[in-house]
Amino acid sequence: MGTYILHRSLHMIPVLIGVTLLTFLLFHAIPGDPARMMLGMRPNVTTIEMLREQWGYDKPLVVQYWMFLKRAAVGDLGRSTNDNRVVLETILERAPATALLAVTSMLFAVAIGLPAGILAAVRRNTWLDFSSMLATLAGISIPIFFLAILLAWIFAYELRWFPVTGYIDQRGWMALVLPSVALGTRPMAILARLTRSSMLEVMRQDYVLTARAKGQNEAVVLLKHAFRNAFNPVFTALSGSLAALLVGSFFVEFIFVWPGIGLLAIQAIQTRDLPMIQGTVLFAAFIFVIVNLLADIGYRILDPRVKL
Amino acid sequence: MAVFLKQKMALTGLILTSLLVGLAAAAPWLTPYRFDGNLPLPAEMDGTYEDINALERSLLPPSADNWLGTDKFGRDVFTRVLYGGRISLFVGFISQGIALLIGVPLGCLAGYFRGKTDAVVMWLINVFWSFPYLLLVLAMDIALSHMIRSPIVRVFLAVGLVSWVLVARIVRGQVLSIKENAYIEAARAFGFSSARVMIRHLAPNLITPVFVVVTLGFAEAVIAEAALSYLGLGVQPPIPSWGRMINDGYGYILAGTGWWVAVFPGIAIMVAVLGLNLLGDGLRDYLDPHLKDELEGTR
Repeated sequence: MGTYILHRSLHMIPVLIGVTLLTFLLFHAIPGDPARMMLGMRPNVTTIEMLREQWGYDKPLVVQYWMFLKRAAVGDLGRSTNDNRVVLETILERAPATALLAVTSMLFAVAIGLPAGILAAVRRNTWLDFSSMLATLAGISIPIFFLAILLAWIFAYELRWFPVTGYIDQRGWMALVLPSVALGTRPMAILARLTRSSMLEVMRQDYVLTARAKGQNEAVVLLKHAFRNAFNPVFTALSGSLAALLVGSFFVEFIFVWPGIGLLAIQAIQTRDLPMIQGTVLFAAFIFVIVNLLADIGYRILDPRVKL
Repeated sequence: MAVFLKQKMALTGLILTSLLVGLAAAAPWLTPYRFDGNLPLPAEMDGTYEDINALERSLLPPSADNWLGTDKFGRDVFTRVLYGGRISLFVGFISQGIALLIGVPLGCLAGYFRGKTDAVVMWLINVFWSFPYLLLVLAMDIALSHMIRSPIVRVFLAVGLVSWVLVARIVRGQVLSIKENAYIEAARAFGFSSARVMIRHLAPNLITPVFVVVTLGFAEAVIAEAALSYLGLGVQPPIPSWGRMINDGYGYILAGTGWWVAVFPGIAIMVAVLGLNLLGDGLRDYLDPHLKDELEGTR
């Protein structure tokens, strides 16, 4: 196991280097003078020179990338061009809000998606199966920002059950509900579909038949014999949906004015705050890579048969 | 029963997708209004035409004249949803075209030559794969904004330059498995060049999986375009785009002056994406059941 983790982590290094390279190329290799662009319409000549020297824009691209990498390695992602905040510090400040939202939406996804998938598999080809699968298809097809707007409109604006916007510090825990549902719907739908197909696969296996044949209680057969084995592919999907979650949080946080990394990123995009955009992109990609690594390791622990 | 149902789903997808294409293509004949104004087209004027004050026609609820209501500028929402569909379709077609142009050759090279070529291509795929899809599209669009003036061309490129990864992955996997077949071995034994073997013998086998991937990629592209224009990065007004209409309309929902401006374009996106997903999934199950494993968990 130890060698596997080491092996897998070492494999991550070239990919992470590639991630920094792509981010660098996207935000630094753009033609035009980045120093001038960052400083806006009427920059002061000395400030331009200062920034240019500080960031090394006058040096060759390879040297610039090396400088960027060295700075990124110690967590220096620059400062916001809007209000001069330190990028990494600001991102870390916002991280708890996003993490909280990610956890509650995953809980929502699991709490609804797993039972729905199991139920659909058990009651295969009944109206329950069809309607839940149709609902999950809708859940996958709806753009997250539209879902967020619909929820805000119906449950916050019309019914007034929840606050339209705001964070838990002022609006209380009710403010957590709509953003979590909006963000959790897509992973929930994916989870339900996968649980269903995985359960159907497992329920055909001999050991399930055997368990039934020896007169086991049906609930025990389903949960202990079938679901325990159907869970592994579902677990992979769970980590996979984190991608949807990360980006989805951008839109959800923006619509519900939830003070996380997503809101930070969207505001940076709207104000063309390049260092901040770059910082959030890099941060999201790193989190994504690390979560995938942890998921692979977790998968290995769950199912020692797999060789990855 | 299950097979029949799957085909029914693919058929539903096909119908929804054709409906979308048909409505978008026939937009000028389906509505008497212009997408950028509330005036009837010249052909519709019969002399009794009077200048209608745009303010009076602002934010009208759905009615017989304006099936889906009007927006703040008195423009017909139905008309704008139809024309917005054209933008979504353009973005889908062109971005997936770009994805094919990059993804198919790279996937073929990686799967055919293996070794160092494969290592480099796989590295590229893994790097692109490390970014959440929509986030990379956003970053691409911003990065391109200093090079390319036209917002719509930028959307084409941003989506295409990210979507090639899925195409390349599938093509590589397919090539790897097809390569082992005897007829490829035979073609090579005849001394045919690698290019000839790839184009004449490998490529025909790739059509089915690539078609499925592109259909699913098309759905992602429709969402990506809407998301970009929702954030104000996509096509610019007065050209209608579903994402931007939702953004514009949200203010009227919160002000209580009109839900229809945002809700109908949202439903349009949902139906379009649902249709494409159904079609892609259905085709996959129908044409090539093995693909399921390869595509699983990729989205």
